[in-house]
Amino acid sequence: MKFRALMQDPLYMRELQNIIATLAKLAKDCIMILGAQQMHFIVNEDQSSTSSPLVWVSIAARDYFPEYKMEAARADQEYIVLTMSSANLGRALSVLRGGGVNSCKLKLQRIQFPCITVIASVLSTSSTEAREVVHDVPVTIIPASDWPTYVVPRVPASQLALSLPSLRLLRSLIDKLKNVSPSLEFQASYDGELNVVATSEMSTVTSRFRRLLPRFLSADEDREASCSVDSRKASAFFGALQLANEELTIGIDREHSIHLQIDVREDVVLHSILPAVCA
Amino acid sequence: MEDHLEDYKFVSRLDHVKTFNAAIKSICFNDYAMLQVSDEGLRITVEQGRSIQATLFMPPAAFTEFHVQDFQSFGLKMNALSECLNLFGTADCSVRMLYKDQGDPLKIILYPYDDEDVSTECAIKTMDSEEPIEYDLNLKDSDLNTIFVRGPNLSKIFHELEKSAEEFEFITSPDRPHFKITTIGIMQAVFSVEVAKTSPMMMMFNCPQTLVARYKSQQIRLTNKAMQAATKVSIKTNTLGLLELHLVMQGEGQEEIFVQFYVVPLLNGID
Amino acid sequence: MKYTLEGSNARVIAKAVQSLSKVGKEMFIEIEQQGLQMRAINATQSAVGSIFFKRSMFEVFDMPPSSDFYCKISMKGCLAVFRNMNEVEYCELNLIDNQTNLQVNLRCKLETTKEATISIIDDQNINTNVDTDQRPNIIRGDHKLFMDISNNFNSAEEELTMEANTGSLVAKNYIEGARVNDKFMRTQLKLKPSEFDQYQVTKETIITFCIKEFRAFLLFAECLNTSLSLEFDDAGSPFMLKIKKHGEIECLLIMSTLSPDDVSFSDDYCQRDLTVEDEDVPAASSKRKSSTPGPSVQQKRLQQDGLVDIDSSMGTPLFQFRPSEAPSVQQARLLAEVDTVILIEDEAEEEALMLAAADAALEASQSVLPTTVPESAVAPAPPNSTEVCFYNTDDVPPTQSPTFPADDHLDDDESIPQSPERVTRMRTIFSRCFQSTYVPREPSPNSQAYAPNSDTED
Repeated sequence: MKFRALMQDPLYMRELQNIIATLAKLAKDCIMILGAQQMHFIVNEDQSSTSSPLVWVSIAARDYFPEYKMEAARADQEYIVLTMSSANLGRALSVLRGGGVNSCKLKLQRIQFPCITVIASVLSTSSTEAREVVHDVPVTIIPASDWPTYVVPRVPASQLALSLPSLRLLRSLIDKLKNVSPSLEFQASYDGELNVVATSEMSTVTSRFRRLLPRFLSADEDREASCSVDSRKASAFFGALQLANEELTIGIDREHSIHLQIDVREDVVLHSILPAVCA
Repeated sequence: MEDHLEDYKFVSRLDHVKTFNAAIKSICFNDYAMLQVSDEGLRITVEQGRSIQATLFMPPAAFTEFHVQDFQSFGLKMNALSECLNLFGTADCSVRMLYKDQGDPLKIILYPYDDEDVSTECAIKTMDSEEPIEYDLNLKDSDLNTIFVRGPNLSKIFHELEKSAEEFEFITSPDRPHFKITTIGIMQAVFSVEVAKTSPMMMMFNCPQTLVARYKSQQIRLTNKAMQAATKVSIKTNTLGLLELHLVMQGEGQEEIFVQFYVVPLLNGID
Repeated sequence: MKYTLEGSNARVIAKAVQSLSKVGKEMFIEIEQQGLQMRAINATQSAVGSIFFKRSMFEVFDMPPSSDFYCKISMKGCLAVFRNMNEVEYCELNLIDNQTNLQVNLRCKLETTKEATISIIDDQNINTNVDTDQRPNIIRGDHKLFMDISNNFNSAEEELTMEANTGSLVAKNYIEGARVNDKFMRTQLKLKPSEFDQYQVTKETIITFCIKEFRAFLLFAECLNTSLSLEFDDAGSPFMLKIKKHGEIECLLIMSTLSPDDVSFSDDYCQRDLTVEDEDVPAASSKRKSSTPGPSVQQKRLQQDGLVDIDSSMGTPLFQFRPSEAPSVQQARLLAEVDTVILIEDEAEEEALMLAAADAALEASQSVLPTTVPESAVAPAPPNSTEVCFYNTDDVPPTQSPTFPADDHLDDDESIPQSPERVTRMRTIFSRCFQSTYVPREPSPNSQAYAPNSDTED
């Protein structure tokens, strides 16, 4: 079993750092699935007991890593599957935030236990030579027999999808609305209107977003769809986002779920699913 | 979706939510509020027990638009109102307030300036109104000590008062210390702060007699948020020790919102 | 007695208070001919920080009439006074009410005056006889550089290990080869000597010390915008952090260090160590409880023989403090008692752990006199300079031999019926942890680091 990846582009390093920082805000543990071409991260794969939503990120390895080597434990296996503390991984990568990083290496190795070692070569102001900062993030290797419980989730089939140009107002709004009501109803129409409704004993709050970009409409449905979701989960998702790219696509699978998608770049995508709740 | 405006007994508009929001937040120390609207303006009163009362007052001039039929009065949940005004956080919004008739909700609609495609409408349930307590502090009374202070300076002083103290003692006096607050009930230490009447933060100082009174620190701290938002504060107190803080908050459009606190002194604190 | 400072100097003192507050819960102030000294000692007695302000920082500096003056005040009260200093133009310190209260008068902008009166808990002092002369290894650098290093480590980290080699300095949150929990993220930072202003490592070594107190002083160095130097010898002997500014401010943080070479990581060894812990933890904690008298008992004692300070703080029992004779401090002491009870409750658990460690250490060394070299340590006898003692300066002139307190202090114990045994034990750990021959049983000089063992018990 071998894994080694090298990053050199400061932009990608910062993006990866932002992605991991987002995941670290959402859950204590994260799953890392290393494939030959892609790297996936999943948090809250078990949705039962948490107030945070299921979120996963898929990264095309060739985009981020000029050097990327993955050898599974056995020749017939396609992946290496690991779990680790998302806070530790976040802290190990936080060195990439400041800039002045020449390169960052990730590698899987065994010290006293298996670790993803993050080695950053950092330029300092006090010296011409780079400093080496090393973090050993302890990981648990998931045996192939357990892989079926750690699969990359599938994007649900929405009836309707709209795209929101800016998350700024929506983020603050949802954060406040979670205090009004435990559930939020998202009502979307293909005419580009999205209403977020929160109802409490004392008040009803209806927030309206107009002139949104229609993205998708399934052929056999009418032009409207709505779904109620847990407001804490919604708020946790929006509150955790650390990405600079704030364009969001919101898909509604009536009665089932809301699918949120952020395209960081073409082959780097963050997804979340908010399951429906009784309003 | 929009009703006709003439159906409403109270219609008003504010260009900027910020100061109104700050003023509402600053008196949000109890959940039930009494709201009264008349030709004189809008008045919202919050009380806690019988020892502290806060009233927010906005004259019609503070609004861009203000129409009212007769005298309207109802009760509502302060938290619901504050939550609504705060929905867009720090983003600047204009606000419209609408009220049809007894039993109908108070409607508040926020329009953020930086995205004209976004708006939020809140319908807050209203309840039967109660009558606020009348605290009479006769302004013509000769035994009244009055101080006008610049808000930010006074806010800083209040803010720095030791938080672990149980009581604060206020002294206002024609002689030194002209204005002094002492914290009481801290282990191993006593803190006090005094401001000379000649201090540049004093806009007016008229204290014909020495008055000493003690207040619950927790009640004085309820005025902190209002103090932070105030540009000017008048402090008035009489021989009974009843304390009136009258604060002026200035909006972006120079409109003025007033918040008035009455704080009842502790019995043992009266000289 | 009166001391006055101009506003910006007062702000520096305020920063010093903030830094020391991260070290200990009590502030020791000493006023002497040269200036004013502030000190604090941490709960586990593994670090003593002192910040000295020369007389020249003050405008008025009245000397105490006869001898030097020293006192102990609560850190909390001190922090509260020096919290908001931006508006301060002039600061005046006064000892009032027959030296039972410290009055701080802050003259602020806009003709505002703030005044605080802090009760003096006791007239105690702490002092260390650690030789503060230069050590074979000296590393000096800008506060920014050390801040960079410190920032790479989690704020919850307990200690820092430095591997000082002639060619590089490696800062780590772990000891190489040590057992760590499989959830523990190891971090290391490798720096080149060229990053430092001075890098003199004549004796390659690996030292481990508490990071919290280190950070507290780093913060003060940042406030002074100055460089700091680290001076150390071998693992196990004291580590010093020194800060100097214009010859007016001198800071010294002395910390005990662990020697990773002395810590055995073989499972066998650790296992045995654990069983010792198992036996001793409950015993130690129950002893602690029974020997903590209620307020009424303490009150009584105070009247009888004036031995107030034995239980007056969780740190005190470890010191060779002796009660002052001045009856004028009575009232302040009463207040201190109130404070004390709370402190002890808060820290009871931590202290129980410390005691457990003390017991373990005691067993290993067959309870010899505190200043003698334990049997288990085979290293040559420590130089006297590494001894630390704490004493009441009234009774012990600073030049006194550091071995002095031992006998005298046993006498003192006998006058306290409830807890002579405990104090003896405390003495033992205290002296041992500053001895160069100290053999740590745990990979930590800090009480919290005993946590891994409690985990194993679970």
